[in-house]
Amino acid sequence: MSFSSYVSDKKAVLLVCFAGSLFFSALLWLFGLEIGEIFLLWICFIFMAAGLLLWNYLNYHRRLQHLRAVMDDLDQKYLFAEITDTPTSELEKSYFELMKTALKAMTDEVSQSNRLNREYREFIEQWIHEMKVPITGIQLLCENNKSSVTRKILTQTEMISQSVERVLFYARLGSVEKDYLITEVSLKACVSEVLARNKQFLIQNNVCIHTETLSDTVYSDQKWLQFILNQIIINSVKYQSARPLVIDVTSQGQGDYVTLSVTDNGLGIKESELGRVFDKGFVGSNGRTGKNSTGIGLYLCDQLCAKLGISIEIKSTAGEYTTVLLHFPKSEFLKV
Amino acid sequence: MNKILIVEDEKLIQEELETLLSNAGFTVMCVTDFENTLTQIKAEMPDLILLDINLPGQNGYSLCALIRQFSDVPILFITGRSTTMDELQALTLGGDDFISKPYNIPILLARINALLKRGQVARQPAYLEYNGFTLNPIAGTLAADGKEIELTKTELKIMYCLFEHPGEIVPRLDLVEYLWDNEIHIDDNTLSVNIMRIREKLRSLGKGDLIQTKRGMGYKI
Repeated sequence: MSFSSYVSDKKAVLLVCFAGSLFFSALLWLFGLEIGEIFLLWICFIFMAAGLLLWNYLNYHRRLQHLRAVMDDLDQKYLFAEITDTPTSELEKSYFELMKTALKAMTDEVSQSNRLNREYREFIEQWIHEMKVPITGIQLLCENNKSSVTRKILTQTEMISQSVERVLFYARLGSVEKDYLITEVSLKACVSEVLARNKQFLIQNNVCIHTETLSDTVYSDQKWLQFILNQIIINSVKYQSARPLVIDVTSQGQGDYVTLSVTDNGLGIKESELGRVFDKGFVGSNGRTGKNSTGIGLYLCDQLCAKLGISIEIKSTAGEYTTVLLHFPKSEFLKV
Repeated sequence: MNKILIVEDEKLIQEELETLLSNAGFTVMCVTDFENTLTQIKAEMPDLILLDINLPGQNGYSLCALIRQFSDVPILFITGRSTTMDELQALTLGGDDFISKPYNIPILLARINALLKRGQVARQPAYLEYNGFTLNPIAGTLAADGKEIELTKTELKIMYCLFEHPGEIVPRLDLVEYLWDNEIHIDDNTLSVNIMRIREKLRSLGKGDLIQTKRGMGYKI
């Protein structure tokens, strides 16, 4: 608060002082005081008033600066009223009480909704685990009674399983840091497992996948990495063109990075849409033509990659190809 | 023959796992009375235990720790839980591997085999013979009448699958699936191309008609 705004706050008091001084000056003059003496009194009074005003202002100013500093240091700003020292002046005390009540109500509200959110997430996770039992049951049943019908059922089950998995990972997105285990992961094994999990789905879609040149290993979390690869490969199948789908998975060490690239010969992405594919809920023109796109898959990939320290990049030419590149840092520190 | 014990309380999954593993050539037993799991394990002495984590009464973790007190039998956890903590806990308590539901069947079988093979020599037949042909899966060659042809990895796997089912029709889809299980990810058309190439190579042996096409069904030797 600047001094001028402080003074303008005290306008009424100053005005009363000024009017009172005028009135008393007039009175003293009537009693026969000299103009010079009255002038002297004025100077004294002005000094006194100004001194008081300035002293008060400095006090206020110091107090405010202190409170601001406390606020700046706070991580959770809504705890301000609990942290800062209690005021001495009565007016400030009342303000303080009001603020405290307001913030208390707010924190209650926030923790209430946090609790609901957590409960909801726990319920979803629980539900997913329950879902896995019948899915596993169906898969085993189909595997034990192989026919063209059960193959189709398996394909559908794989799709259910993918969707369920996606919900689980979405629910866990907020707590990736609590749930990962960095190990040396062989890219070949990782990709192979993803392909094996979606075997029926991929075979039914007549996909041909080349993984022969994959050889590098990276340091990452196997489970999350598989999830990311899964999304990428499913996208390739979803957005295939009329040509037979061929996916090339290769890896290459480049300086401080190992790059895994997944290239398909599908629909590709328009240049104008390339920058937005990682946005939540973004469905490009390919997705709008009835492919039940949700705009969530690549968003999840991007978020996960950020948390795992992988940088993800997409290159594409519409109608020709799409390449998703994952760059894994190859730090010397990671070598055990 | 390896003996596998299934500790799983979900009835349907237990039964289907039993069928699956019996078909894969294992002797399978299931725990039915979860009060006395340990006694049963001691009595049966299986070669491998498939252990679920959510069990009535005692959970899989503590069961695993108890088994480790008297046996080093390989334990493969199969479970619906899949967080890193679960995995870590399973492995630190003495589990040998961890696979989460819903699991892919070839992966499950591969892991079971991997655990059983530890210390044992892998048993892949050195040669497969049929009707005067000798397939050498290690060298990747096919020989007949003293002449030999070299096969690529894909061609070799196709021939291996056909040689394992002599006289039977192998449906195309089965072949593709077999290849996928062996990490060769090709589609139907590429399979046809590969069969064509094999036939060409066979023709150089003078045996172009080894592989017969059964239209709409598959291939047969």
